[in-house]
Amino acid sequence: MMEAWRNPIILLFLVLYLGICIGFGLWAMRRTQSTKDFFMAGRSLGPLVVTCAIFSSTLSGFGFVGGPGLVYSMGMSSAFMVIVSTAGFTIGFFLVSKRIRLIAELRDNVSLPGIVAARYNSNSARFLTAVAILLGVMGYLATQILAMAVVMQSIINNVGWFGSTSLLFCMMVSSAVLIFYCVTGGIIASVYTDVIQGLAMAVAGILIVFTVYSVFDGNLAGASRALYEDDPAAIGPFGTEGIICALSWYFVFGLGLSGQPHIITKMMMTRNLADNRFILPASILGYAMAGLLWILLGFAMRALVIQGTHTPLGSPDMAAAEFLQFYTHPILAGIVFAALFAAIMSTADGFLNVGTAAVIHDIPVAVRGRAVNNELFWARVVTVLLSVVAASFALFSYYVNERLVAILGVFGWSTFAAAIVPVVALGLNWKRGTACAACAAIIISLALNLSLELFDIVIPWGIHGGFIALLVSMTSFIVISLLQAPKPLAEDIDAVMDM
Amino acid sequence: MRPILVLLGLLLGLLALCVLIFSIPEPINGHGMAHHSVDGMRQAGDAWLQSKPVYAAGYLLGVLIYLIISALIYIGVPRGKRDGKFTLAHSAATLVVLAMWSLLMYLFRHYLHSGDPMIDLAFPTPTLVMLLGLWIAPVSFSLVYILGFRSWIYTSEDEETFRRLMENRKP
Repeated sequence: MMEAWRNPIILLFLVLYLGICIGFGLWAMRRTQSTKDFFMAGRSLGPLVVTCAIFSSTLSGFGFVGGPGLVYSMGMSSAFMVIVSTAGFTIGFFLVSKRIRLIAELRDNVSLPGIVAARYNSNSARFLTAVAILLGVMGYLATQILAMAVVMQSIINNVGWFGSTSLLFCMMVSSAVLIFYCVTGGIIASVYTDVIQGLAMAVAGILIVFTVYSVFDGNLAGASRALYEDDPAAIGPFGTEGIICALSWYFVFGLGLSGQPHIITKMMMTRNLADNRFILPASILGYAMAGLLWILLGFAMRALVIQGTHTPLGSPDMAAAEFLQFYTHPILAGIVFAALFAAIMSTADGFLNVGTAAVIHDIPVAVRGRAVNNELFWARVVTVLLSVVAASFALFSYYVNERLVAILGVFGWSTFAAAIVPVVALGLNWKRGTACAACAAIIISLALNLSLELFDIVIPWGIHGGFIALLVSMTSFIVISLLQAPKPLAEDIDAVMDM
Repeated sequence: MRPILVLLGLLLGLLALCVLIFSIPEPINGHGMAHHSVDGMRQAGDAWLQSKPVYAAGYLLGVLIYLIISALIYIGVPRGKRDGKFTLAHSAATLVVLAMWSLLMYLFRHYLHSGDPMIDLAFPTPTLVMLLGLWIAPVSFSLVYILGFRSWIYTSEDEETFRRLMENRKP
């Protein structure tokens, strides 16, 4: 009975979820009175909200769609991107969370480039950080918006009530909801929707464990054995790509977490720094629950195809969607699809926020020494503009030239990692780090990442390009700083760095 | 030795190791190849052929990565707060992750050689060690943060200092 209504049930969950996002936007609008509210939620968030904001922003649409696809395609190799989360969050909390929060309050900063400017007393460092963020935001946002539209189109067309719905229409509807709650409620709406999004993702992760178990009639060992007989490495710890490739991902995704602006800016919003004791373990746990989707969905689909139970997928990225379509209870499929939308939106809204701050606050301050007048108004305008530009990139990429988003997408996780980890994670913990070294590290990381993508450079043994970029930028930052005479820090920054 | 110099040494060591890895001839399946029968899927084929040339370098790569993580966490605590207890806890956490990594590599070698899938609790044992062991082992560092928060991360003296800074800041 319920099976016949599978697709409408999934659509209902999606509509409910989008309705909740709009509701949060309306509610948060009344609480957003200033730029500080718009970008920093007044630095008044409790531990549950910050926890959900941090871990749900970490797991984007890539984690829900691309992640299971990678496991389907490569076996366990990409699990290294997930299991490093424990180390990644811990490094982030040790190196970044305390000082970023204290400097934000002390200097009344509303953005990451503002923290960089305060630390190095340098508008050049602020400008370059803002540019790196903006480049990354455009690439990331375009891919997230495209993913939202593709998922929505698939859900609506599966129901079949509205004929064939175009991608453009789905992009307009999904972007409109995203823009609405980001514009009206700023980061307040964003982080409170993150709570719903994070909880949906964590619950879905746990439920998927039981579903996968039941799909194989409790015989997961049999599924593993089938994979072993087909290709022992695929179900081995390093998957088909081998030790070196898996470890390069581990390095980039672990250390790189401390350089993701949409994640570490959430660390600036806590009401009480002592809450970090609870936020760290809760973030690790929340991400672990949601991360189960990544590993188990891909594992299950690879096993089902190898066993001959399911036909081979047209594309590895279909792994999650096909599993949900064919092997889950309709209500669970509805929850997971809503969670998928949540994962995409929670990352996209974080990017919109940091990108807007770069455009209306940091770049003007770096270039002309002061922010724009009526920042709150312009923040809302730029939020809309950024979304429209990113959606245009996404459409252009989909219909005309798919390489555009690939090139922009390279300014994603690994570029943020290589550009920001040395400047922020090291710079906030080492007084001798200089502004010149910070600028050099950002420029080197951008140049390396872009060159690797533009010239299609394949690194031996499957080493991730971001691994090389991060390694070189961290080393450059330390070496250049050591070669320069140290400059005295501002008194208040010096005091914070002693804490 | 200053921790930042230790970190620099580790990063340079990692760069040198990368150069060494680049110089090792890569077999055809060095980082996987297309699956023999399923489009869109990949396989390693002869897993020992893939892993043997870089097994030692891979182990060292893992050790260096964990030492870098450990060094970063050490740097994350200011010098004045790194007392004997912190050093002990930090060292123990480092040993835990290194031990887990060594166990994984030992089991992986056995897995490749034995022809036995070694399946326990749904996955081959080395995969289980990766999923449960490597995922959970860094919690030892998290515990240092959580349990030592008031001693090593943000003390009551820090709170007082910060309160004074806020009072004295320029309008």
